[in-house]
Amino acid sequence: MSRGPVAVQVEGICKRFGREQALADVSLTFTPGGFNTLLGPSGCGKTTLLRSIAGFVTPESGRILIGGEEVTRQPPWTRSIGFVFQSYALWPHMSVFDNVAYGLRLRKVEGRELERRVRALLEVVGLSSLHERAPGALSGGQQQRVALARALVLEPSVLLLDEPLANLDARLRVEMRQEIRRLQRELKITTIFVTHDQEEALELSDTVAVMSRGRVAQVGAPEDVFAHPASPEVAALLGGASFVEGVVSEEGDLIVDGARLALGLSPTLAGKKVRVALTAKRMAVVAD
Amino acid sequence: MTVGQRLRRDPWLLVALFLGVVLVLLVVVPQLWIVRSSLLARDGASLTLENFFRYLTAARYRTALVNSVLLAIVTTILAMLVAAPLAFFHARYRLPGRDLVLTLATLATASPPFLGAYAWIMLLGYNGLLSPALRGVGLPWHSIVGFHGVVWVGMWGAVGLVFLFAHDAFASLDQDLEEAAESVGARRWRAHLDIALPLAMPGLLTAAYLVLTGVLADFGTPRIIGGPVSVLPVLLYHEFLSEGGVNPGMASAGSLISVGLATAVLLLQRLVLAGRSYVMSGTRRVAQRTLPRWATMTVTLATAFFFVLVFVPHLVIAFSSFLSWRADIPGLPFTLDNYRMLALRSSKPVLVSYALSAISTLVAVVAGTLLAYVAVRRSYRVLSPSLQALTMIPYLIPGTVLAIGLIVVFNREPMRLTGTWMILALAYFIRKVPYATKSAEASLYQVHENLEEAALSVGATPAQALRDVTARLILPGLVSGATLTFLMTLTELSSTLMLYGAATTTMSIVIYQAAMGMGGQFGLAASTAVAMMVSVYVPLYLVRKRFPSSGVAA
Amino acid sequence: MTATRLLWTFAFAVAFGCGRSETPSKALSPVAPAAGLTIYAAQGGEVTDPVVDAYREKNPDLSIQIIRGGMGEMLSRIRAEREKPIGDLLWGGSPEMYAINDELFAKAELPDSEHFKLNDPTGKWHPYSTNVIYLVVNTTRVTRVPRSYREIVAPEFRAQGPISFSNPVVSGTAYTILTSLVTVAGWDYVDSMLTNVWLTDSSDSMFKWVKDGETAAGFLFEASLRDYVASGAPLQPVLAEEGLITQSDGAGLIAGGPHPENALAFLTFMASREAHEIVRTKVGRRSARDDVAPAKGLLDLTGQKLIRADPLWVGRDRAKILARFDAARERL
Repeated sequence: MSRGPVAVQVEGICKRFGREQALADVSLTFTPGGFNTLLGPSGCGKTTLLRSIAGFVTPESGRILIGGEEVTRQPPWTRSIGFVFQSYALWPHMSVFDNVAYGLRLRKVEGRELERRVRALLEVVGLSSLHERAPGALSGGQQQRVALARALVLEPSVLLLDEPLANLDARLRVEMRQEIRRLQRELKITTIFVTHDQEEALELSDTVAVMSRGRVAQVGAPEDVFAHPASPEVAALLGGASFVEGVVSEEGDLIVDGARLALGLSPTLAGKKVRVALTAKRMAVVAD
Repeated sequence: MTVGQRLRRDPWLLVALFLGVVLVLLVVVPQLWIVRSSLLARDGASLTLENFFRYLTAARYRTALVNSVLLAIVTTILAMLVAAPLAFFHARYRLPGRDLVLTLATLATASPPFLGAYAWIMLLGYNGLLSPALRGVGLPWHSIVGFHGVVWVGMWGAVGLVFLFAHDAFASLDQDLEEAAESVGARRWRAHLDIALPLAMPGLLTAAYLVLTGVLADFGTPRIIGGPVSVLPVLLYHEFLSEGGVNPGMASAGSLISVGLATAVLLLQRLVLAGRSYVMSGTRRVAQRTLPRWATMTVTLATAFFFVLVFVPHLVIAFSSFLSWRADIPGLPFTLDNYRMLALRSSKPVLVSYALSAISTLVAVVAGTLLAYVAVRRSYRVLSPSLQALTMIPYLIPGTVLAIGLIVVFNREPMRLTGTWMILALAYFIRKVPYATKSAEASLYQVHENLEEAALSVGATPAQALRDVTARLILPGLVSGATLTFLMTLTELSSTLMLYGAATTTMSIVIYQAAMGMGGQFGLAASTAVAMMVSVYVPLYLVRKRFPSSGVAA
Repeated sequence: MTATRLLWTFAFAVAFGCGRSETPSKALSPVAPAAGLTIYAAQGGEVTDPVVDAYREKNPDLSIQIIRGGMGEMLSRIRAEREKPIGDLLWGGSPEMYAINDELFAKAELPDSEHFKLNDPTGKWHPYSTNVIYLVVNTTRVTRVPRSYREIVAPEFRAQGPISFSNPVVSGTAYTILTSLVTVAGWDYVDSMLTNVWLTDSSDSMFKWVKDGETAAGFLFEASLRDYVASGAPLQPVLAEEGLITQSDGAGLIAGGPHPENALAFLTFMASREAHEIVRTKVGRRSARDDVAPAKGLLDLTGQKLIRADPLWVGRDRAKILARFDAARERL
């Protein structure tokens, strides 16, 4: 890669579709060169935000910066992005090779240089032998790889993925997400990944932004977010949370119905009656 | 955003504006005088709405209006009922001769004007070839002339179009969707009815709309086979061309009513389709299943019967072109005289027809594609519905009326086009833009927006995305649409009648004059019609060889 | 790829073909060439061609163009082109048509006018042929040929089928028939007839329906009747005791046409004895000249009762007559 990882930032993004407020004052700083995930249920605005960064959607207010440069009103074809669609959106009238090569051809890359770069990417995603095929003749997983190759061949500043694994079976999903993670680490490209699947978010991300109803509910490293949900809402979103009420002891334990739960709560809460969300991942059953 | 930024980001806005202006100048302005004259009273001076009211109060006008509406509805329903199910089978199931079937369906839309009506009268008129025989065996058969005759001819003239649109709609469905239904317990036919049918609605409704408005505007068929049944276009034709002095007030009001009807149908169609998503972005074409043997045979037989009925007029005309004609009455012996007359009198009109149709079709397809793109991919608040309305208006202005409007506007310097090929090409272009647009729209609906966005994301400008992705994917559909438009232009009559000059006589004019003349020239009409059919089928066949799997709209 | 190649060859052939017979610049300019004559003909070729061909032989350098269509279409064309007319003369139509559209035509003085029985005092309409319009019946629909107009409104006839009739509002032929019938049988008769009529705006339909047997009776020009019968059509004329209906057609000079001298010369030829002999022999119609015999197969009218509607009434009260007709239709 010719440049270092690129910073992506959004500030105060607002977007409305008709009467629906899809994004309400969203501000995020994405980790350069990192794997950033937008996590949330359907309708929370994560895809809209992704498409805004890509340029398919123009927000009413706010700023989008890629590499420090404001691109808010710039059309998608001028931004240095790679986009992987949930439906892959491979062009059915072009072969695998041509799908990947298209962007290069637009930039007047030709001949051997073109071949070299396309084949290199196909190699990276493991599809070298299929370059002649038509997309319709490929399996879902293979199509996905082509979509990835197409997005990456132009060495974009940021890679955007819109729930790319949603259409794959479980085994393939696990396989592919590991692939994606591996690629991302290797290329060190700033990546923004949209999903509603927590497992994916947990496994892949350097940073997770939990979104709900057009707003960012919480941002942080995945373990932090899962371990310490900032609000009941986030906890509920992350799923599998149980809520208990009790009183905090001086040592930071929670006293619930006479039982003592060592949760390491903040001593400043001592003596207060609190409500705690317990997520499944944090619990283990031990012998007495 | 500044205007400049907005335009750079969305160059389609500029395209839409440009198209809007062009359409207004070509479609609205020449017809403004129609609006004006519809409001004039008989004295030619005062303004009144009386002309419109007379369409409800005076028997002459009311009957025509009611008949037209009834005719359009009945013909459309029948045509859909006959052609759509058949098309469904051919789209979803493996049946013999698919390519032949699609070719035949396309040919079916190339019937020379009104000769179908003549052919059926020849067969089933009161003294037709078959009628006395039918009466002889005791069947209560009277004659095909009348309302039922117009429905019959109109129906078989429209089924080709419906078949093509329906076939396309059904063939483009995602198989998964029906299989999903089957997986939750729906039997095969339930899946078809509940899933396939609703999802094919855009294509089907488009076909229905085209048939409906086509019948509303058709004057050739009812004029010949309608008998005493008066219909709006024939009424308007005569009101405008009345020998006894022109009072275009009623005719103008009638034209506007026709436009109003079509607009109502269009709005209805949009209402039904609005707010529903029909697009599938999967890249797998639907695979065809097989029917049990008996079903395959039945459907194939039905298809054969279907096409026999569709092509009866063509065959009858071809046959009659070899007969001796005297005073409009055919008889033996067989002869080639009609073809000799053809070579003598019609060879130049053949070339003229071709050139005019080719030019106007090309322009219409380009314009139609651009309009379709704006309609499908962009919904500007004011511009989009306006463009859609503008595009559909010419479809329902009777050809004669359209022509008169053009003559009035283009008969003075500096734009003196009357008598030239340009005014004919212009009239054809205006008349066929709706067809071209609808066809392109149907194609575009099948191309998911993601595919274009993917191109944008790798750096293509909208123009490049259009050229490299969208245009390529809709090309087969465009070609079919262009072919259809070409064929329809080739056989156009009503506008041509008003606009042709000696140097721009077309094939349809030759046929019309020979057929309507009282001097026994029907033979020439038949032979020229055969020449028209042949000269249309050859390029059609070649085009289909080049673009084999194209339906009319995909 | 042979299909593609063929396609392109075809396209080029068309392009060249067009260019060969007519240079692009000619196709672009308005119809009338430098020295010529443009005739708007509301008549079929069988009526005009023999006379036009004869004229062509006499004037080989004159380029004559004929544009054909229905009378209504031609009148509309002429009206629409009024600012800068393309046509030089209109061929076809009865005198009322020219009177109604008076401003579209120019006066012309022709020699030989004393030989024409029906002349137009305004000098705008010049008679060409006189035609009998018969009431005819189709013998596959009726058992007996009537002997009068009155018979066809009787109940016995009604049972056999309808009568085809065109709309006098739009058809000059129908207007002539109407005024003739009113003259000999009154409005009551017309009201009665209308209850069993297939009405059409097109005279051609009126003719075809009775010829084909879709209607039991109709009205037909004598020349067409003769030709149809000769080809085997099951038609019989009614030699009505009330009298026969006649209509004349003619031609007129279009006002402001591009070649008035050529047009006048042609009109003069059209009125000449020579031309009318052609009418008798080649066109097969009844000449309007009194010194030319009717064509073969046409009834000799000497001694025949002919209906003569009052020309003043026909011309001046046209609007009233048509209104009365419309009113009769409304009552149905």
